[in-house]
Amino acid sequence: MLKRSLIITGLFSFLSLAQNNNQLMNKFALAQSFEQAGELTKAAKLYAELYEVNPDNNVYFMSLNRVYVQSKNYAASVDLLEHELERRKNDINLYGMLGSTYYMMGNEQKALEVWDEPFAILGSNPAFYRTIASYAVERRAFEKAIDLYKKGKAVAKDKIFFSYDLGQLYTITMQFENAAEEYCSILSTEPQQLQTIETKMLANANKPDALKQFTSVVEIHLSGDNLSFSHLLAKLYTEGKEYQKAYDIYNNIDEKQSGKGHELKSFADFLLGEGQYDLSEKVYEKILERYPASPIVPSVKLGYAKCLEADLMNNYIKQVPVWKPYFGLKSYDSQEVEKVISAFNEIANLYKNSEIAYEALLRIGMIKFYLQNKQKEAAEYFNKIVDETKMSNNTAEAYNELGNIALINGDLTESEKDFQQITTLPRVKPDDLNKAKFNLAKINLYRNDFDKTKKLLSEVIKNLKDDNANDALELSMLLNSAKYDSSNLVLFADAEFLADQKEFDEAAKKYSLVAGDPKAFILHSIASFRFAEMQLALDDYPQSIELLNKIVDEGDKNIYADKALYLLGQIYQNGMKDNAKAIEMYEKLLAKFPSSIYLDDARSAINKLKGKIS
Amino acid sequence: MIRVVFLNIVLFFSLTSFSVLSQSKILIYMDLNQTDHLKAYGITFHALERGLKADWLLNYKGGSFLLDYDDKIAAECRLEGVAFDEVSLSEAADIYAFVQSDENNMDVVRLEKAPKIAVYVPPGFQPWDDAVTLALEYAKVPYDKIWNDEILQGDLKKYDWLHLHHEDFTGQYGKFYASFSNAQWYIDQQLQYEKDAKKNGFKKVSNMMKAVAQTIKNYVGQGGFLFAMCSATDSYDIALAAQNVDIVAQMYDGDAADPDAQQKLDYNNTLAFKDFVLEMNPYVYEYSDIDIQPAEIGNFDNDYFTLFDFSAKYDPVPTMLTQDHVNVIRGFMGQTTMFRKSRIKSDVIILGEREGTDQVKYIHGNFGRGTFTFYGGHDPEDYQHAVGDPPTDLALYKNSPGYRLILNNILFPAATKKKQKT
Repeated sequence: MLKRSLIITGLFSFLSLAQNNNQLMNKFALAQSFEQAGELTKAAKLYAELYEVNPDNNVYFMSLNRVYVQSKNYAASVDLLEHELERRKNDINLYGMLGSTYYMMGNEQKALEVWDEPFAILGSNPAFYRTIASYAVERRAFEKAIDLYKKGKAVAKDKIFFSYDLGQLYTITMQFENAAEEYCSILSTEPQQLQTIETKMLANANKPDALKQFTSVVEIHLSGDNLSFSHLLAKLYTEGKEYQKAYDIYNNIDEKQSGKGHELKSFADFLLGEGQYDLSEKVYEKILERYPASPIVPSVKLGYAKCLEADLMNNYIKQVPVWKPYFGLKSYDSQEVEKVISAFNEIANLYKNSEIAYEALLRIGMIKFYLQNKQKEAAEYFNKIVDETKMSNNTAEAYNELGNIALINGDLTESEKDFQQITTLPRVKPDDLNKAKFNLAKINLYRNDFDKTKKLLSEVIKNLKDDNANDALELSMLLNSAKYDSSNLVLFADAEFLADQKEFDEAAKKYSLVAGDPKAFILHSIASFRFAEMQLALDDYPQSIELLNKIVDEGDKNIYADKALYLLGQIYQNGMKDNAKAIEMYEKLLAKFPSSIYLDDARSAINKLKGKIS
Repeated sequence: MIRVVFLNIVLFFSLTSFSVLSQSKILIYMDLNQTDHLKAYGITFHALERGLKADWLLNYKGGSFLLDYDDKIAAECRLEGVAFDEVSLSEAADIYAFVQSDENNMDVVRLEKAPKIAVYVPPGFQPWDDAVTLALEYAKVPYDKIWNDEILQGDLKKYDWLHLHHEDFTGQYGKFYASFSNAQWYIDQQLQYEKDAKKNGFKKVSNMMKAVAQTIKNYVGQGGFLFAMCSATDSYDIALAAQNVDIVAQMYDGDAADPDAQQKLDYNNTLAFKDFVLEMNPYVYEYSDIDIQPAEIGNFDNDYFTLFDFSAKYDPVPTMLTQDHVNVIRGFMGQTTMFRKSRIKSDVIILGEREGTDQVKYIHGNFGRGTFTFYGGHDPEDYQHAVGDPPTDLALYKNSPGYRLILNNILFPAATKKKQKT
């Protein structure tokens, strides 16, 4: 009987407890629903009831405080937290939360005091400093957070975490020197953290003064033993475009560690990409001198040769009147040229029968042809390519240059053969193919086979996106309009051939004959213009100016009048160095020919020259 | 016939009496034949800067400009690629007569003085962040950059025209929190704003922005011209409505928004909008229901808005603001793309809208002695401009009708105030 009574009582107690639990859960769910619906007063009332029933339930407590804060009932939040603190004096988070509430109330002084309280009561535990600091960061009280992290760091055995936190906060508050000090303190004990620190510093390097301050601090920490500072400083110098200083550091790193030039090679490649040819050349040379047997030598040599070539071309361009439509080939011999040729030769010999070797041979051929005017030697290099392979990306270009050499020497048969070869190559690019067809058309023009010329031009014109299409259109238009004036057309074709051979004097005579015939219509226009161009190629500026002025005076009767005005501007600008007169010509072009295709060029020239004059 | 000739003579002398010495005029036509519409505004602006006068021929050849012939203007037109005609004085007289004839919906507005322009932009901003500065840079119209410090210390009085960059006046940092809270630019931006607020004596950024919004409103009330685009439009009015209530969530200003924020908004304080419902969810990239959502636009290919045709003689201001060589313009999106018609106050003039919808693109209104113009969308030539997108190269959009609307606003303050005919 007693046993049965005990069982029944137990069952009732269990059922009552379960029912009570269910009620609490339902109430909590209802409170959550009110909170989500924005009914914060109702939610707070329910959470308060739940908290009263079960003050040890942290979920109820947190929910109640959250709703108080959301509804800006800060006084209630303070009461709740203070009440809880009386029960749980050792709970560090309660101090953090109470300080936060005061901060949100606008009572910042009290917040700071509350955040300081636990250290007097609970002692100086580094973890406590981190916890309270995170509350300060959440409230964006960065100065207080910095203060707490500093104190935490002072008592912590492992200071790295604190240094990272401080570095981050100093960066946020733009105290870059302090941030750099923290990061350097990490590197001094943990050099393997270099990658992370480098990323953090470079991510902020574009902020005002940041790079300067980072650099000055790392410079102070630079030490002989810990190379991580050297790596970091080299990166900062590179970021600040202080390449020579960066090089000195990389050089030093390379001497001290057995990197076998890898670091230097990466730096040299970077400099090449940045157009810093002089320094990259120096770095490549250093690698070759220091590691003549290293496996990276071939790629270093290629980089070195490209560097030399880029430098050479920069200097060459300054010597050549590229603004002129026609100019003669002059020999540009210098030690620089030989150095580049020798560098490419080395590559060609090292990587025989490879694509790199063919590219090197092509570049040597080009230098021989255009810079040294040594056509025979150039042809040997081009022939080596075309004899060895029809599959290289450089074969079409080699044939093209062989064709040009033959053309300049007046050998139309040989030239045609070379250009024709391009059309039969298995891997010819569309641009190369069109260029070859245009050149073949010109050869037929020089042979006075106008029908064949027109046929080839029509093939080029099919692809209007191609660079040769404009020239093809212009020539085609000329042939169509002058087809009934074959005597002048033949004369004009002869002149064009001579101009291509750089026989400017002879060409000028023939152009002048056509230009002198006013009945030649369009041929008269173009021949007049070419005649002026030939005088310009012969450096006879006064004569050229006179001829161009005549064309301009013809106005709408000469379709090259706008082009003539533009060329006059170019002569004054680049030849006579008379900027005021050049501006006058360009402005005249804008006024007289508002539909000219040279307007944009004329405008940018005016803007540039006006900048110079002022 | 004699009467017409007499009228022409009278009109001619009444409009050119100050320039009788000039031998001819420059007509910068703004119809489809113009080669660079945008730079044409710059040319006219520069002429005003030099103390010359210009006449804006409303609705004549797309809203043309007629200036006294001057070698410098002609040279500048040629240099900048702006097409123009040199017209004789008798031809000019014919044009004036034609424009002022009662039979044509056209009129002449005299432009007297180049307005002093300020653009509200944060430090470190790039011109390509904003369509107005892009247009000003392209047209070579000079402007000053001002920010919160300058506005709060009263510098606005130095300027005739203020453009609001697409800043957020509610203090919610553009409501980019959900997508970009970890992005460096967002973090930097928030810090910059917080520093500004602290420096200017505000505990919260949202409070500083409300003060800035109110100062701008006072500037308009005292005769300033305000032009805003994109999110500066609705966020500005929301900030005015929320002068006395916290509408900003905890992640933006450190404390929760007022639970009754919606009810506490004061629509009497706004310039353009009324009865709007706030988007209180801090994770949703939207301020209120003023803005039209992408889904409401439907097929983006059909997104075009139409400019209203106003009476040039009776409503010169809206006519000036809608001068364009086309009247149907391709739409473009922004954080604020268009305005919901039901949320626009009744005294605000609708300048452009999507026909047959409640979607309004371009509005104008008066407040006190000044005016405001709001234009929805971010970049008229970049349909969906996203954060980090490259800048629009206006050299490729010299004839952009959408950009023209921006530049109309710049010349509008240069107009001589005429007695209203209505």
